[in-house]
Amino acid sequence: MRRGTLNLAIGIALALLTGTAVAEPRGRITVAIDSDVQSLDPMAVSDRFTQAVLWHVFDSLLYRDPQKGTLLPGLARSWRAVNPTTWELKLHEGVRFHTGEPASAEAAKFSLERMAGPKVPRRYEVGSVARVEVVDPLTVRVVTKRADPILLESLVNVQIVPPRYLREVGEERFGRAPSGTGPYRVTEWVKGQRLILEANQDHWRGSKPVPAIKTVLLRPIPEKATQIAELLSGGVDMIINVPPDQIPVITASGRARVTTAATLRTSFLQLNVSRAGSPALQNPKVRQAINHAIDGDAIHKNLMGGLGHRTGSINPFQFGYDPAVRPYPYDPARARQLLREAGYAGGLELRLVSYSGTMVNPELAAQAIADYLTKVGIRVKHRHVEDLALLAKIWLGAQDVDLMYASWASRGIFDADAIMRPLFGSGERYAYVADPQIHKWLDEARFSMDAAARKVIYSRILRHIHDQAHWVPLYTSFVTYGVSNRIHYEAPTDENLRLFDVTWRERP
Amino acid sequence: MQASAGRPMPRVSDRGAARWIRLAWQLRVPICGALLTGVMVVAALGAPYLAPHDPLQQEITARLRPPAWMEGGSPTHLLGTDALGRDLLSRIVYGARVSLTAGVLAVVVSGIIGVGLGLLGGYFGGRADAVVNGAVSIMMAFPFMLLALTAIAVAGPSFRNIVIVLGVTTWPIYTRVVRAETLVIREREFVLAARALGGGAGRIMLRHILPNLASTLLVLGSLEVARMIILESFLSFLGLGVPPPTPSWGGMLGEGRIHMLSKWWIATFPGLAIFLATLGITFVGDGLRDLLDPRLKDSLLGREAAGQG
Amino acid sequence: MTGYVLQRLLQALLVCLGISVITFVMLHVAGDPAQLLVPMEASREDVELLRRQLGLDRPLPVRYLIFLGGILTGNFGRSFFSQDPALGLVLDRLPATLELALAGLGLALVVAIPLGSLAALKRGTLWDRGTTALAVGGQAMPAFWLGLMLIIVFSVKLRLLPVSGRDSPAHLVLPAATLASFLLPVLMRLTRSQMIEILGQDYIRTARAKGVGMAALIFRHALRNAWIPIVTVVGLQFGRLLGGTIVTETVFAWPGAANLAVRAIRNLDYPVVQTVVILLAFSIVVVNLLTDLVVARLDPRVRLQ
Repeated sequence: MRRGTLNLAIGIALALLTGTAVAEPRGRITVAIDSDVQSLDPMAVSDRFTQAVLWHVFDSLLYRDPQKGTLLPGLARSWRAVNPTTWELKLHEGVRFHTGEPASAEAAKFSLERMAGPKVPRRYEVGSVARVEVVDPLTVRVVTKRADPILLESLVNVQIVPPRYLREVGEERFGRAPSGTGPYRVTEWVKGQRLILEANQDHWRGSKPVPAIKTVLLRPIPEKATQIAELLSGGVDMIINVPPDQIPVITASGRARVTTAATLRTSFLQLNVSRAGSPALQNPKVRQAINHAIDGDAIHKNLMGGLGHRTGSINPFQFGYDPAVRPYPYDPARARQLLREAGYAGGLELRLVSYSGTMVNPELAAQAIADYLTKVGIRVKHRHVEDLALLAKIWLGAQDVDLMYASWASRGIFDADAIMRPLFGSGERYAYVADPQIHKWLDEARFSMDAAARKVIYSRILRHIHDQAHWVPLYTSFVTYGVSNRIHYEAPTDENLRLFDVTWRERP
Repeated sequence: MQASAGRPMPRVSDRGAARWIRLAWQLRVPICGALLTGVMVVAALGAPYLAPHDPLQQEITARLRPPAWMEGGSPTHLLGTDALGRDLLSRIVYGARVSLTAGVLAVVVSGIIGVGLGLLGGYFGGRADAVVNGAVSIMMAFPFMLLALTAIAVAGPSFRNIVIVLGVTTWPIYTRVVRAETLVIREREFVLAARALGGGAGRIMLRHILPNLASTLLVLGSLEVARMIILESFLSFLGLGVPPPTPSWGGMLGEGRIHMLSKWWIATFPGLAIFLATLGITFVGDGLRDLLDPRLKDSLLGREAAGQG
Repeated sequence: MTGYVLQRLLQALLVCLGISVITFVMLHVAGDPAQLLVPMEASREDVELLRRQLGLDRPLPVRYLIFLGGILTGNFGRSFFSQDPALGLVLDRLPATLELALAGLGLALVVAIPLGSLAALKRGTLWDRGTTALAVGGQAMPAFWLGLMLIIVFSVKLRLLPVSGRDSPAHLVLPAATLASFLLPVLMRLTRSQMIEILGQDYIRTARAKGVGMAALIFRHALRNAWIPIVTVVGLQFGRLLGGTIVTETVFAWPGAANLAVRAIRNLDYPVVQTVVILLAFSIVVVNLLTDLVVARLDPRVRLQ
């Protein structure tokens, strides 16, 4: 009986294969990456790029459409809410890990529970989960502590790992030689030098397509200038995050193209209002002056190449965004007047921190911001950090910082909560503003399943934050990929690389 | 032999204008060097008067402008503008301050350490000399750049730390030269006489030995300034130099690197500035050597051999 | 000879000890690894616990001895970031760096010796001035700038050579050329002055008078005598060569130890930094020792000094 279904599935897959003329994966491409992946164990990694690479090796219960951002089936073929706190997910049949182990409800339960482990950096993804129940080998129930409207979005970020293999080889070895259900398997990883992925010939056909590229070599090249030279000289086929100034160089070369898409990431200037920042920032007039002093339009147009969207609050892609909340107009005279009214006619000094991360031109933008502030009489001590440990210390500790030029990718979740809570929520590590009114509204919106009511609350929050000038929202980010003329690739609307979507333009 | 290996010394028998022209022609290399160096010193000292713009003033709507003679360029920004719309010429002029002062100060720091140790080792000999020699061997075994990079990463990049780190890691060259010379000079009659008259060791070293080393040190120091400028620019290039927005040539080159394929001028002019400044100072150093101390030629090869940079 | 060898060995050992002291002081006194190692949400107690685990609460001399013991037993600690043993990380990368260093050295010698010899033979001519200018210019040229230029010309414009990586011998060409530029000027000037000196000596004049051909003269007589100082200088320049790999590996993304070190320095990954510093410094000591011994064997005068 089971075998029959499997045969049928294979038959359909074969029919699809021949019908849509999808050929065997073939050839090899090289992709330049800024730095090597942290680990190959999804529960041991925190940086977004490594997570994106692991998408190729692992699958999650749900998957997100790369262009539209809507939820698609992953290992779960269907899902339904049994009650406000219980989701039931039905898994695909016959899916196996690269090592042959079945991807069962047991594996899903194991993975969700492992994700919640005390040492897992991204355990917050399953923070609302109370328990996971196995109903039958292909059915799993996720029970949350309270109603959680964005649980399914979070599940996109939880990759399913094989319990038996993991227990066999141990965590350390699993982090170097993992086994997943994804369209690619890892064949070689030499830290700092190369990671080689090979198309998984036995891949089950889910929402991720059959890869067209047989072998993918990911090569860390730390310098962007070197990456561009590699792309133009044919040494690599894809580079990620091309600075906007370099797009014309690549386009004009005739050897490669640039594909770009606006993403969920939003850039802003955080004001250290409530955590030992300059006392001046407690004065709303000073905060408004800062908002008026910075020409966000000019920075967006000139330093960001006009890509992405200018915003006065959160990302327009997110549920809860309100277009009526506009950025403060650029008005240095008004800024100076507000500073005078606040008692800072003689100027004041603020410490600005920026960092190298997934943002576009972060150091340039921060220098431009510092310059705008200087022009209205705010002396800025700017410090740019490259070192992650140092950044964590400054950002999370709110130490020695009044202004933080930062960005937030909302963990790929298209909901206002994913940015408002970390930046303005109660007891949040990245929050620089503690406003009880906002805390109350955020909680109301977070645990309501009524979409219309939530939207109203978020509008109220965004307007309140705007009036209080609690931050300086700037623009949303974008991804750019430089792609050689050998291959075809469209930038997805999130930051996740999808090499299984790459196709050949010419015979390799 | 040495004199013939280098440029022939000017003959004194010539007369009048012809003699001066001939002299100038024979000294053309050091003269060029002096001119280049002079331009740099003037730029460093007179930066506020010479620079057409404030080197920190941004104008992001006028960024990445080409030099005046290229299409789209304007005479307002002779060498064009950088990624934040800052005037490149003004930044290069001000950058001379950073490069020159960092180079000279680092040489002063390393010179004081190196000469002091060399005098001590050479004069007292014995155990003191063994200690000095050991310290030199240890310093010479370190991969210099790695040591400097680590020290700056730990201490934090700042102008002061760069000068200190460059100074503290490059002194063995002076120690080697000074120690060798001191070993010889301390046996000369005038030193022995001074000692017999009851002169203290410190007095003898400073009054009698050091002046005899002056020309050697002048030559060595000037050549070292050139090396320090390159080292400072490399630290800045790696982002471990003088922190922005202060203009420094190495930092400008680092910032302009990403634009190498399209807006070549952003990295090219600072690179050229480093090249010309280094060249000028080297010419001056070589010229001084030929004038003051032709004998130095061989020991300078020793200097290059000792260099770790 | 045995006495000299023993003396030099002892010296080298003392130098290694000194290197370990300086490295230790720089990294362990100047920075506090515990602060960097703890997770962001760690409490003060967590930090204290970690300090005890790392032995950071003990007196400095004791910590130094533990550190030294670690070096002797090959235990350099684990990378703060990847948690891999630091020694393994560095040893994985060392062959690439040595390959690059040898290629750079080889290239520098192959270019410098003929050019320097020719300059000496044709002293005072345009050829001599040209090579001297090249040497002086080369010394004033920042190597990172040269590397970028080579990439633009040979990889992007002409598409002749690969930009970065280490997959084939072709990948070695541009990095080796950049690295060679560190040594080329010195070696060229040295060869020139040595050849001038040797060519002026009586036995060469005699040989020349006897009608020995120029090529034979140079290769059989002059170079044979010139190469003792060249070996000495190459030995002494080894440190400079390794310093040059930092520049070169950065520009060409060469997967060597220097590249690893630069990243570790930026991340303040102390165990990796100290491993690279110590291993490279020790290898410089060994190379210097070997050159001294080779030179001593060739030239008896050295031993008597």
